[in-house]
Amino acid sequence: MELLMDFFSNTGFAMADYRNFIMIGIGFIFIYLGIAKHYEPLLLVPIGFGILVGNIPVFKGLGLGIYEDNSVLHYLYLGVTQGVYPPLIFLGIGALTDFSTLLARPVLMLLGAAAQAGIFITFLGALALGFPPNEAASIGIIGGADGPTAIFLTAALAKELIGPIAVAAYSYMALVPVIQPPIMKLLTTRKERLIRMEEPRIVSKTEKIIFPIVAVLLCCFIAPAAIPLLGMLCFGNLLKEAVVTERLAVAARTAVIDTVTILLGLTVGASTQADVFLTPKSVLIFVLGAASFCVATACGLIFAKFLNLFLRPKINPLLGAAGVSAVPDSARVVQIVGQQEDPTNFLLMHAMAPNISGVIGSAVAAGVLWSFMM
Amino acid sequence: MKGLEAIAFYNGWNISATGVCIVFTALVSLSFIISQLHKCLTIWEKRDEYIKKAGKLFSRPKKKVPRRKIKVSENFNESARQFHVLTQSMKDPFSLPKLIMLAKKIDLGRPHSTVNALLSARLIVPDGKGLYYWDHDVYTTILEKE
Repeated sequence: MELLMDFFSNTGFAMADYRNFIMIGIGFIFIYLGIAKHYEPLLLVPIGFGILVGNIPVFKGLGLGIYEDNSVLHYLYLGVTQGVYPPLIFLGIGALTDFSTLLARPVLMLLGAAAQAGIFITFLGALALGFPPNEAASIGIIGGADGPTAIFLTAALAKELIGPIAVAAYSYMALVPVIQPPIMKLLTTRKERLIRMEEPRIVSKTEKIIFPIVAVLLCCFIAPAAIPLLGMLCFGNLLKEAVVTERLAVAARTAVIDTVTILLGLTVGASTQADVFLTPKSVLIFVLGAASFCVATACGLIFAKFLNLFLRPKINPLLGAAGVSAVPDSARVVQIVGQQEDPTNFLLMHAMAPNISGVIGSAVAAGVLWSFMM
Repeated sequence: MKGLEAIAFYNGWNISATGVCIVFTALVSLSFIISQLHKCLTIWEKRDEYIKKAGKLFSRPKKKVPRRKIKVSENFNESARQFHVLTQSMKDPFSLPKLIMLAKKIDLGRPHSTVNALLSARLIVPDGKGLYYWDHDVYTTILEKE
């Protein structure tokens, strides 16, 4: 009987407290949103499952928990804490992305820049709430709506916040279809939402090949700290556009990005152990993250309206919302909101331009914040 | 420390303003470069055409060499007709020695000096490869004048 009692005291049931069950509940929500609601399933399902795994109570010292030096999860988590996974994900994104619409209408790139203002406004908000600058910068980058960028910067500036910030960033990325539409409708009139975009010009192959080279040189000369992210993004895109490296491009956009997404999602989820994650700081991070995301969306929309004062023909200001870099979800949301007013208005292709420039913009913003905090 | 005091203490205003400016500068510059990229590529692809145009702009206009007025006598016209018949039997381009030889065979008078006159009158024109051809336009003009 004593042996049985001993065994019971070593089980998760005996060691668990209410916080573990809260986190397991959050894990279930993530898995449900991913599978049933199709909100970023490739991210939410691994993260959700990671949350379940990370919140099973274990003995300290046995090398099981993600924060124990000799555990397998810890080794896998090194890819997050050392900033290895985000650049590899950017490599895959680059190999997946077609920059044609951006090259056809470069002015839309400014919308991606405007949306990054949300990052810096939230940075100020976090400072005002008492966060030190390194943590404030990591919280601000959530507004970039780019999970890998948020993880990369947080790994460099505030490792202890990776869990909450990664979960917040990916949650808001998944919730783009819920968060953005009300802001888009609030800040635009029906007449504006009905604006049709001109057909973009056809972009030559040479332009597509030259673009990643010019982009990496220019942006990284301006903000060298963006090299790991932008360098890999542009490299992936060059592999795709060069055609002769098709095999490498295929590997980058399938095997590499899929493997890294699994490892990243699972370990980030597992890093949300209740005792580390459920703190007042995490709650504040979630609130600030949401604010950051909303402000970034609003900045993009308002800047698009501002551009319309000078542009002829005018652009549909909904495109501004795609300036946050949740690729391609925010572009899809622009399409959906636009089609609610006019089902024959196709904005998806045009929204991809600010969307991709948002990725570049948030990587530059991360590089800038990193260099300021060094 | 919290609020505006914290922002000021950590130099938040400057960091934010500079950060926004840098992000804008990077993307505006990139946007400007890619807006000009296709124009540069068009110029590069049509570079031969542009080089020719530029060459024409900067080269000195060639002085037109006035065509010498052809003064021809009735005898000359008759000789021209005879040599025209001869060249027609030879096919263009023909060699001058062969033409002279043929002229000698059929006893045309002074074939050397006639051929020289035909050359001067540009009825017989060099093709640049050692052979000659008959200029039918000049020939028609001469006949019309007659």
